[in-house]
Amino acid sequence: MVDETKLNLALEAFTGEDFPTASAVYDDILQEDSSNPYLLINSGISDYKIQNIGHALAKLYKAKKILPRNKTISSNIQIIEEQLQLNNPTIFTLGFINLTEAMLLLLVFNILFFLRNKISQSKLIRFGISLAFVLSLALTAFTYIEQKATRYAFITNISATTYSGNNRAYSELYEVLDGQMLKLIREEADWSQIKYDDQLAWIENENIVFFD
Amino acid sequence: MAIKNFLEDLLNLMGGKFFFAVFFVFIIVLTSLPALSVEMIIATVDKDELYLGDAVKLNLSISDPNLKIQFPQETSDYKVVANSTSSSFQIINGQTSQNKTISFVIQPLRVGKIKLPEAAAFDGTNHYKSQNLFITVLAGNKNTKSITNQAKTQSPTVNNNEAIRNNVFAKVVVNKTNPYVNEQIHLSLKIYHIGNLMEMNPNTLQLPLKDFVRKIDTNAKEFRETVNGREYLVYQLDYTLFPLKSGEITIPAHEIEGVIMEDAPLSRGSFDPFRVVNPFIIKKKINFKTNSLSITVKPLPVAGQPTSYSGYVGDIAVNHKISSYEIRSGSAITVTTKIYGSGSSSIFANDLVKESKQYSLFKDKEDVSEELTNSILYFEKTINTAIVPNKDSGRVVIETLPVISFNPKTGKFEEHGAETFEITILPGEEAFNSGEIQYKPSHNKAKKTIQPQILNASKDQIQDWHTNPLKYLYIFCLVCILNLIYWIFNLYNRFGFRASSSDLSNNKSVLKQIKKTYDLVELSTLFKDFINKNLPTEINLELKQQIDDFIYETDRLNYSGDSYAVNDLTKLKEKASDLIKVVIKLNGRRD
Repeated sequence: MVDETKLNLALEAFTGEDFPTASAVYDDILQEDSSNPYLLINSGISDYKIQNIGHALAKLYKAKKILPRNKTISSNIQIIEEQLQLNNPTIFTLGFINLTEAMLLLLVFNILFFLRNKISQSKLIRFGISLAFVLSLALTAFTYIEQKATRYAFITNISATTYSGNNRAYSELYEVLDGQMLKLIREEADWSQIKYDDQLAWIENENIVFFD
Repeated sequence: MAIKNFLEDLLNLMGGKFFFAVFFVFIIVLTSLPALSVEMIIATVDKDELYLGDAVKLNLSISDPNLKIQFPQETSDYKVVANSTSSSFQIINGQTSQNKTISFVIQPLRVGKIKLPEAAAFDGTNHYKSQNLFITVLAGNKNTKSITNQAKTQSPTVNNNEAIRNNVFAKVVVNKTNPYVNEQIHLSLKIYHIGNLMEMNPNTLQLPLKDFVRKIDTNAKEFRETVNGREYLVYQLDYTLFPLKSGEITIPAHEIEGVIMEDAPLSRGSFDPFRVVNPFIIKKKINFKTNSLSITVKPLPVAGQPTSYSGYVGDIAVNHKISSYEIRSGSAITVTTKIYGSGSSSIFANDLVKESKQYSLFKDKEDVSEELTNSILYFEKTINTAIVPNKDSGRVVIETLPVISFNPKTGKFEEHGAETFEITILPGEEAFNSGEIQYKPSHNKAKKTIQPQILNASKDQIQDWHTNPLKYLYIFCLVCILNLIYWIFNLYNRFGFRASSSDLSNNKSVLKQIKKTYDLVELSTLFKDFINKNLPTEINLELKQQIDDFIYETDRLNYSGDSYAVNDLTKLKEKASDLIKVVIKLNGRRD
């Protein structure tokens, strides 16, 4: 349950355009309920208003994972990315389904597959059920890979430099900007290996926020 | 010879009266001298000693204002910068005289003693000439004269005895004999003379310095210096050098050509026009050598050398300035970088602002100035870089790249000028404001503005949200369990099939027993047992009829007690085997 007092405080600060306060209070509320997508939306917008772009997008994308077809979330993400001319990769399944929904679909078609001989003697219907089961299995696997198995991070500094190895003694590779989404390959205590534009590199963890 | 003949003829004419003849010649010379000399054109200069780059004013005064003066063409020694004419009248004791003065401003083009040519005039009857004038042109300028008597205690190393005899010698000195590669050193070529050095071949003043990047100070110095108790005039050329390689570098002895003045020998030789002016002095060409000099150049340390180090050695200061910290979208800002230092200004990498996707860089041309102070060449380099942010709004960080230098005093590498500027991009005046995005479709002339807003969630939405109890992991477990059950069921069926297979082996043994038996009762019992256990429920009537017929036949034979021929028993055994095989086949299809 969301603490109403804190929520009122955050909403008042947001309305009064005191975005730093709103952002801080929303972060506090999120400690207690980190999976509330609407809370994530407001917290993300507060972060955006104080130019914490990476944190804002991480929260909005997390909200989109929970509510993939929510137009408010999609619109906010689109506006921020277009204004800042960010060219973030598309997580295909986030436009229409989340992992729970994909699993439910798989469950239904799995049961239908078991019962196909009992449902109908028509070969066409039995084939259709089998195909639907296979497709639901593929969709679930794809959704799982996109939303759970592949980890992403957002850049939180205005710009950050990537290196060819996991310390600054290695040569600099390329620059990444605030709000850019990176694919995580490997995580270490202070450094993470990332992939951006199909190029592998290492970045300091202090420059990124993970997108669960 | 002509004069001798003339005098002999004259003596003969005078009847050997020698004294009379001498007197006559003296009178003739005295009377004709004014016409031959320069009495009609009097040349004067406002100064007879000046520095290279200064000008001297030559005044030619003539008593006949109608006389046209031809001044010789410019030579490699001087050039005429300007000329002017003025006239004056004088009335002395009732007599009027008129004077015309033509002034030439002359700028010498070389150091040394320069002869100003005679000005000539012709009035239709007589030729007139001005007298010869000499000016002394010194190297350097007036300011450098204050730098005098430096290094008085230094004793020159002279390797040329003839030069010493002529009181002219040269030496090269450096301020540092053990520099690092690319470290600035200062070399002076000093030419000592006692005022007798008139000219030097400028080509011979270029020292062979192939192992250095060199810069020559074009403003030579001239001063006085006392060497071994004797005062010399010193002509000094300064070089700023940057060694290109490590190890011992030798600057070899270098020969310089010059012309000196010296006293004329007592015995008169051939005719020398110079002696007309001063018969006691002659010009003499001399060659003299500088000393050779060895410099041991230290290599730069490899340990701790940054990868981006470009080779700069010396003092350095880097300063960046940004024109604005807040700009409109699409506008440009300028980062002005000023670098001061004593190293080689050409070594720097060109890019001093880090490239970024956040902005585009446009580099302006560089401005470099140099100044020699206390024998050290300092440079000041100014670089302007225009930066246009690639964003329409938000913040942009501009980073300047560090300039890495090697400090020869500390023996360490140093970083200078790494700075970060954070600027704010304001949306353009026509662009969106506070989250409004303006789309400009190229095919549509009228601007169409869509205003998608950043939308936040309401309080109710936040409070009404309940986390879905269905977790994907739970559903996944359910799917797994269901599949497990399904496959266990399948395995059970498969296990059941194996049981049939076991029966099949039993059936085979039944067939073997039937084949072996010679007892009709046993045959009948085996067949009936098999049929009772294995006969499928759904069976075609024909097979059913055949089985029933066989059982009936065997029962009938058993009950009748008829002896049974072996052949008939064999047929019955074959019939039983065939029927059993058909049943087994049917059971196999059913499974």
